[in-house]
Amino acid sequence: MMSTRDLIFTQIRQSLKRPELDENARQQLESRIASPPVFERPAVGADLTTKFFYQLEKVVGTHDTISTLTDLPFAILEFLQQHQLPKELVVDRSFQPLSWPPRLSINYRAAQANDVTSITQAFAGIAETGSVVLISSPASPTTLNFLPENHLVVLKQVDLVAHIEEVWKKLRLQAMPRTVNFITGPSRTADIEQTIQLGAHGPRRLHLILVKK
Amino acid sequence: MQSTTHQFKTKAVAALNNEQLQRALKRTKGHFIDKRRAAVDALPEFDSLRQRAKEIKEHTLAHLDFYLERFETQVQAQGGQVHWAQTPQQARAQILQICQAAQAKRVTKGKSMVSEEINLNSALEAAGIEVTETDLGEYIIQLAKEPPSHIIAPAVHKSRDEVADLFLAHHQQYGLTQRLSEIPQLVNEARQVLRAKFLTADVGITGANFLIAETGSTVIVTNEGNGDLTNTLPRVHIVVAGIEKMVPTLEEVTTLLRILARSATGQEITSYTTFSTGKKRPDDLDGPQEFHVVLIDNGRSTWLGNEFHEMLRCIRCGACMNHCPVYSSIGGHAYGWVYPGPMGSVLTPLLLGLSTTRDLPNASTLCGRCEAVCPLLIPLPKLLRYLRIKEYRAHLMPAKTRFLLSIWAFYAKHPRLYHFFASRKMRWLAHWGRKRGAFRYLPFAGNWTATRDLPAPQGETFISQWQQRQEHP
Repeated sequence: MMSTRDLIFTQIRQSLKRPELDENARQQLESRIASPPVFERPAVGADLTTKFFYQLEKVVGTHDTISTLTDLPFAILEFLQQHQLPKELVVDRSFQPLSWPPRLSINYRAAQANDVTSITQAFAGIAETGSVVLISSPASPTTLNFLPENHLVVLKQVDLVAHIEEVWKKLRLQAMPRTVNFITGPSRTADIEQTIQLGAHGPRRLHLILVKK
Repeated sequence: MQSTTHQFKTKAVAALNNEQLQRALKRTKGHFIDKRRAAVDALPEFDSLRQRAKEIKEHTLAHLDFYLERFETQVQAQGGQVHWAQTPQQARAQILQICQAAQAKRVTKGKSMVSEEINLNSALEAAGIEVTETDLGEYIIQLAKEPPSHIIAPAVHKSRDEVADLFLAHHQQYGLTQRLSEIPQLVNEARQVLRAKFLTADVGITGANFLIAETGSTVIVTNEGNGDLTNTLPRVHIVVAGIEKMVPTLEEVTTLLRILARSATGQEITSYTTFSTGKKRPDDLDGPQEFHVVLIDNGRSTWLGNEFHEMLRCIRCGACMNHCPVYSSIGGHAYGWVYPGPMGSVLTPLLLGLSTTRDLPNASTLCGRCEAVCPLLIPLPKLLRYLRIKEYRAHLMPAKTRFLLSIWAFYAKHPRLYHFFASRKMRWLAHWGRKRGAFRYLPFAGNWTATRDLPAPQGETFISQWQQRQEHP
């Protein structure tokens, strides 16, 4: 008896009025995958940072710029003070080498229900859309991006790209992570009377910290 | 979900007389249209991207067997499993089996129209599993025990007062006994209730906007973040998707993403676009231990070879319904099933058969706005006409309609006779209607004139006027 899978494939080929593709045709499709077509892309302009911030502000993301990573703890402290948030953080493990002031409680782990603020490192930023790209790894669990109400994302200037396609080029240099998150502003919903409300299920605030060097 | 499409006419009339619904429809109407317009105007490449998107989908469909196999191989390479379902029954059984093997008591769901198509929730609930929809709109209609009235804004027909009543009735069990009236309060309360569900769910079920053959990834596009909590927190992640969601590469998905959100909500990109590839990696600190993709055919593979194959390009953006004069007059529920509006009037008869759904392809003026805004250039009016032809051939329309249509067809095929009678009729009507300039009532057209007047003709048909102009320019 044919399996369901076989039945579906048989029907597809019957509808397409051809047998299974031969080795030659399959090779052609494989090489198409290896060098995929790139189509029209929205104009971004020469100044990626300006475009990126403009797009981020449109979706109610906030941002700050620091010159080096050593300034990061102070930028974070300032954010916490400004919004009167507890000095407890869940942090991407790649920031462990930084010298954190003792008044900050730093945790390197997956996020939990009561975590208020998380700090993550962006794999890339996209000027076209104002998005940050976060990828899952042992250092950067996906829950950091969604459970806490305040999400602070650190983006290095060199990782800011013009278009989405450049993210794929960079991503292909490594193994595919379980999750790739494109995040564009804080969580939102318009499900009640078409009224936009921030913080539906994910973070209420998305704050970007751009590191120049 | 049970279809009530056979009651379309009754429900459409009820919808027209439902003041609450009419207010909601008026509130939404311009919203989607204006936002889409602004987003499209801001991207000069939009029209060429539509053409590209069509080409991508047509290429994929022409090689669907290859790309499905490649997708399957990639999912397996990342520790995931692919399941194949020809029918809704098979899909439900497979998903239930996965849930039971995981000893699941509680399931959270991201918004998935195909899961409504296969009637998943009731199957899981019948097996004693608690199912919670986590998209706010889907959650509201789940509480109200209603089907979605719009594919991207399922609760678009509900007012804040109705939502407040629903929350008051259903949230008392969590100790939330105050009736809220403001939208932010309502959203916060739903956040609080659903957060507890996310954290205790055993299985998370999401749909997929796209499946990527290159990487074995499934893609979801959301604004709330509920899809991400659904696919990250529970032990098991199940993705349900129709086989037509396939796209070859990340680059091609990128092109489709550029037109999807603009067409749907007028956003350039949604808050969250998520690519899920396989199960938790060995050293990861979170993520599901199992990753399943249930691929659903449900007739799609047969459309691939017939006159409806262009419908397989649909990316479910909802632009066609947002711009449809029929949808914006009667809302989504009158359509009686999962998919409303023009895309639904094509899909529902294809999925459920024409005998109970024959009113849908006829509930259209074929004005063409749906085709004009469709990002995948699907000729929806043409597909609706094909369905009307099928309906006629299958002898599904009432004998009276069929009889009158055959009389009209006879004259339409005999232009001289047609013109002869038409010119007489125009003159009579012009004569009788010359006083008021319009008719309040016409015999045999009572239903039509009950709600509007027919302007009286001026005495000559178009053809005779045209001839006179040609002769005396």
